[in-house]
Amino acid sequence: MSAASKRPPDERQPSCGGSMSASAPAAASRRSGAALAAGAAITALFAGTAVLARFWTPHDPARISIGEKLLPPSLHHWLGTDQLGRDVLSMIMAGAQTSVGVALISVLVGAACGVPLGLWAAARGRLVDEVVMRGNDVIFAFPALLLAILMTAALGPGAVNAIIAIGIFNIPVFARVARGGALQVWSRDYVLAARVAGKGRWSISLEHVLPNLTGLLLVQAAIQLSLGVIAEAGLAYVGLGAQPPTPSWGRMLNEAQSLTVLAPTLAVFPGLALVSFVLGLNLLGDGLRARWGGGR
Amino acid sequence: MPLLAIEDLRVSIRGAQIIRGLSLQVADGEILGLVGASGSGKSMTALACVRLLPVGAHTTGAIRVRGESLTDAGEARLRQIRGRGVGLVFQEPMTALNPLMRIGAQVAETFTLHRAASAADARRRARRTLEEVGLGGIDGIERRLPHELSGGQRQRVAIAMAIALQPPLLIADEPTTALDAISQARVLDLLVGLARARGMGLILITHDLAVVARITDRIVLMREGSIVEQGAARDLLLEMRQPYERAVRRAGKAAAEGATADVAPLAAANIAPVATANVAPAAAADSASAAAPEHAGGGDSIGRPGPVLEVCGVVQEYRGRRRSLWHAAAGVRAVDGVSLSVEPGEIVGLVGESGSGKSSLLRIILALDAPREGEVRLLGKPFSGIRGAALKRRRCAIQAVFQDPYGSFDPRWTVERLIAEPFHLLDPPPGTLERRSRVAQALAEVGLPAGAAVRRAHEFSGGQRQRIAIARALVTRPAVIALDEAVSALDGVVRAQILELLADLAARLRIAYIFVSHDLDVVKSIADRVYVMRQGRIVEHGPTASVLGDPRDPYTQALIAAAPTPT
Repeated sequence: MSAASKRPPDERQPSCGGSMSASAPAAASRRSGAALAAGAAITALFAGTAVLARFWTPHDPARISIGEKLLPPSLHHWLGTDQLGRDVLSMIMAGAQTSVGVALISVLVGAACGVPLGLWAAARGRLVDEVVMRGNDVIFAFPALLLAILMTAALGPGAVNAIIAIGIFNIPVFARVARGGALQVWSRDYVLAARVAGKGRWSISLEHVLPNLTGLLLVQAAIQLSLGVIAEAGLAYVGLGAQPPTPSWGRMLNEAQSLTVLAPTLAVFPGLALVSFVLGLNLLGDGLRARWGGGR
Repeated sequence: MPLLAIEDLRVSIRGAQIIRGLSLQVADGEILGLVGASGSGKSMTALACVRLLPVGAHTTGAIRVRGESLTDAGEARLRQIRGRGVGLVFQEPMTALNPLMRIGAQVAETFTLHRAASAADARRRARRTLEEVGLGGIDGIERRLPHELSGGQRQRVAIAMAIALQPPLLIADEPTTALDAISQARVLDLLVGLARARGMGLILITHDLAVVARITDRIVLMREGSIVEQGAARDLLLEMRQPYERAVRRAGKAAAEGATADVAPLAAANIAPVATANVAPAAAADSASAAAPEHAGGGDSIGRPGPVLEVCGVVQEYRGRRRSLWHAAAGVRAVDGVSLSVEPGEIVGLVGESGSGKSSLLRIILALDAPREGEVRLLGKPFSGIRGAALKRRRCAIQAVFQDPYGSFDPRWTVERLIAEPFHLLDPPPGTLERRSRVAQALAEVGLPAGAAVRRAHEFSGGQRQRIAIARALVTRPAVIALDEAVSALDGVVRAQILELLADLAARLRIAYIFVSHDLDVVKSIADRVYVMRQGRIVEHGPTASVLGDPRDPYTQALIAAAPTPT
């Protein structure tokens, strides 16, 4: 409603390079398109693997057969076997299930609590805003992984507690992102128009604010997923994540550590899986961000 | 040798032709007005002159500054030319300045960047330049930050930076569009004074003919990337001014005919039954709480005597900044005891420079903010200070159109959903079929095709969007519509069309407007009565002709004197 500042319709972004060709931005947009495609493909691959592992793996990932221990990759065991003779490929596939499951649920938990909090803070302002955001600051003040370790140590190790621990740290992230985006939307004239049309805070938040934040929130979700995957692996690595026999990349890395000299491939494959999944999620997040410009 | 010569300039961005073969010359000391509607390529021309086009732009043609080709110049040479050869001033002075850098340092930086002076020398020269743009009188101007200055002062700083290195050519891209009438006139005077005093060439880019009329030697008119007309300012202006005034005059006449002869135009015939149909539930609900059978949503059926909107002694205060930890924050009175009234079907103008409290007042009138003191009455009943269902019921009678045709619509909603949003106020809201037909009707009333309903707002031009905004305001048949700078973001011809539409709708549907604007020309063309607002108070009010024709208050006189006029 301010009479003063209005941006001109033609957004100017002067190029400092002074290049007069069309190649640079086109290349940039191709690059972000490629990143999005690659990220989506990798993410889909791991998600698909996780679903597949629920029904089928080449071997039973829990079956111990000492006679077949530490086999190198072969036709029968594509990625070899570990010190107990378990099939590494099957374990990685089953581990993907744990990894995706823990990260996804903890992101959903974080979004389900954080987004409404952020919307609420933005819609009410003043005291509510202060309380919610300072509460967030309190959670932010603790190093996330450290407190997750503390929590799982207190509640006992296990996948469910890992979900809770990681999920709690996703809440302030989503609350903050949602609030920031929502404040921007609240300053728009169409929100004024909605208020003139008699809409209350909640219907404006749900009908106008939230739909305009989906891009922003999806980008954040992809980033939080990748952090969740790392956090889950980290917890499992120190023995606070999913417990045996539930397979987990973090614990595979831990177990392979002592055998690095004997069987170096044992640590390479779960490590590769972890790195490429996280890379894929980050590419996906960057691609989405480029497409939506960090949300509107 | 001309100062600036552009030959057959063509610019395309991602395949879209923005400028199609433009040739132009500017002589030393000449003041040239480059005029065109938004999107006509005038800003792109300016940016092309200093090779600052957006990424992805493809340029052909020749641009020469004093005979030196810019198309062949390297980046280092270009940086020298920007600043030393050509100065630039943009529309938005806030974004042109670094918000964290003190004014003195920002201007001095211009000298040091171009290695024109030592640090101490740069500071001295910066002070002199600031004096030259009329900021010398402000205490400690060099130590201030951009947000501590007014819009006009900021634009002066931007001008100081542009002229610091004494460039022979200054390009000002909509330098006054973001300013109010009085600052506008002063900044224009400054630009012209500088150009004349220094013999500097000046290209003034604007969509506002009135701006260039007063001060330019020559006008170049652009449309869709090419020059459609050019010539001496006065001749061209008289010719171009016509459609705008004609349009408004025609609208007034048509409306008058429609009202007196009662020869119902097509739309008016369709409207009557709907108006009564939609008023009924609201009236029924209201009469339950208070016996007021004359409550109407704006139909011309009832000749109720009282005003539709009354504002009585409204005060609004915002908490100011604390001067220190020990001082209590002083309140800023944005609205200071304002009273006004709007009769049924009347168009009331509210004018004043930016910061005069117009927008704060409007927020109170629309019950978006509660007033600190005073009361707003709508259709004779209190509107301020009520909440919940009662407020929702009353809101039916007042709707709004906002300034920014780009920000007024949720980008994700279809036009039908956008226009239907105020139906939320009706109890019960109309069903799908009725909603659809009433949206189609509203679209027809504002002159948009029915097919527009399924599209999204970004597919429309600025003028069309403002029509959608008007349709949204009309759809509940309010008694009064508040228009906040509703045509300020539009350029000449489109503005005339929208004003014509508004005048027509007001007369046909007997809707009252409260028309907020800083543009006196616009208010003069449409309002029956005018209130002049300054520093939160109404300083003068009365019939438009007498207030704007023969102002008594010195502030109104200053406003009128400052307004750029072609004559």
